[in-house]
Amino acid sequence: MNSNLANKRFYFSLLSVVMNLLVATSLYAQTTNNSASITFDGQVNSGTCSIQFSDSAETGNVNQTFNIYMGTIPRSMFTAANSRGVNKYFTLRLNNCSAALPANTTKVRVSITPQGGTLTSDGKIPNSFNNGGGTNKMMLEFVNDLGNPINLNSTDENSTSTLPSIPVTNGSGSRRYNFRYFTAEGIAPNENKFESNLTVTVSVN
Amino acid sequence: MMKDTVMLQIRYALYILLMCSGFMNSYAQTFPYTGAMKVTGDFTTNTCKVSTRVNGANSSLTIIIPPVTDTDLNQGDGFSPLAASARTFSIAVSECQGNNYKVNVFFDVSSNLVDNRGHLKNTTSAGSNAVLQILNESNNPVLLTPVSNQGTSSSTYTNVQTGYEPRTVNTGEIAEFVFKVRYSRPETGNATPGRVTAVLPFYLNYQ
Repeated sequence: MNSNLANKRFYFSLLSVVMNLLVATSLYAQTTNNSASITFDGQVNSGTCSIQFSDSAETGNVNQTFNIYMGTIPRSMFTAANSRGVNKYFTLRLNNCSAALPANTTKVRVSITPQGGTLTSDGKIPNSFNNGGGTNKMMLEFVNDLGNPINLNSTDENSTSTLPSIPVTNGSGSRRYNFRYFTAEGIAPNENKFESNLTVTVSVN
Repeated sequence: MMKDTVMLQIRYALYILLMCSGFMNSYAQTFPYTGAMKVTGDFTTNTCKVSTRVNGANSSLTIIIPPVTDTDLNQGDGFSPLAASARTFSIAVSECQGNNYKVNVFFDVSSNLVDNRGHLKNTTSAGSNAVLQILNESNNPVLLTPVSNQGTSSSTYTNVQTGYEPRTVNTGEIAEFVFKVRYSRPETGNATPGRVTAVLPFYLNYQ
């Protein structure tokens, strides 16, 4: 008697689970026999879709804040107009995103914008750390594979001045993004810190 | 009894549904993604002190290399033996006022200072025709050859890499970039006796 009840409960539970998952029918549906067939419907995906930042020192998920520290740099490197720093970089990596992307996606667009601020007219990122009335002369400049400045305002996919897309094959791909300090006029007299909070958007088109 | 059974199946069903819900979210994410990145850095009025060292002690910028005979140089691989006649020297970075200085050394030569193999030419007229090879601490040759300019077809002898990664230097710390120098036969022919002098410009880059 107890055994029959346990069997009933077992089949009952399994059937209920399947029905809830597949047809969202009532939880109170019952079988009238002790046996029934169960149909399973599933799919094995290639893995969890993730987008990750990485550099030589850190890794992080895109949903968290990814921190890049530019180090301590003597002001004397930036006293002249149009001074540029050494290239830094991070890598954006898509893993196993075929289920989340339209079929046959070959690339995803990336855009970078300052949070609570605006890009300069030539598409650079201003210093948002306002120290003692500093004039925010230091900027971040992204650099293309040819070593030339990128205009983050540009959306023309065919232009080398546009932040390049991430090539994607079977839902995975990565690209390295280079950037550096730039100042058109020379570093501001009171500028002793750089800070910028950025939003990175990865989109299909 | 019937009520218990129904409650049981509700618990099972909810449990499984929650599990499935979590699994679905883990791969069925939608684009566009938005993420946050924070970039920070510090600027300082201080620079670090750069010095050259020989055998761990501060030395003048002139480094005396032990002499070698032309006979020794003209046999074997054409280089003076590392153990006997190479001179180890270092470029040291110290007295940084603050933390997190990230520094690296680059050589900054020009075509008149080096030969086609990336060795330093002798600047003493009427001296030996021997040249000097630079090696890093791991005894790997540092070739003073042109570096291509990004985005152009030209190349220059500036920014010649030394094989070292940038090093972080904090207050009170010293970073030493260790090199060795030794004689080499010229590109063609045997080395001739005479004085050998050479210049190796370098610079320190803060990164």
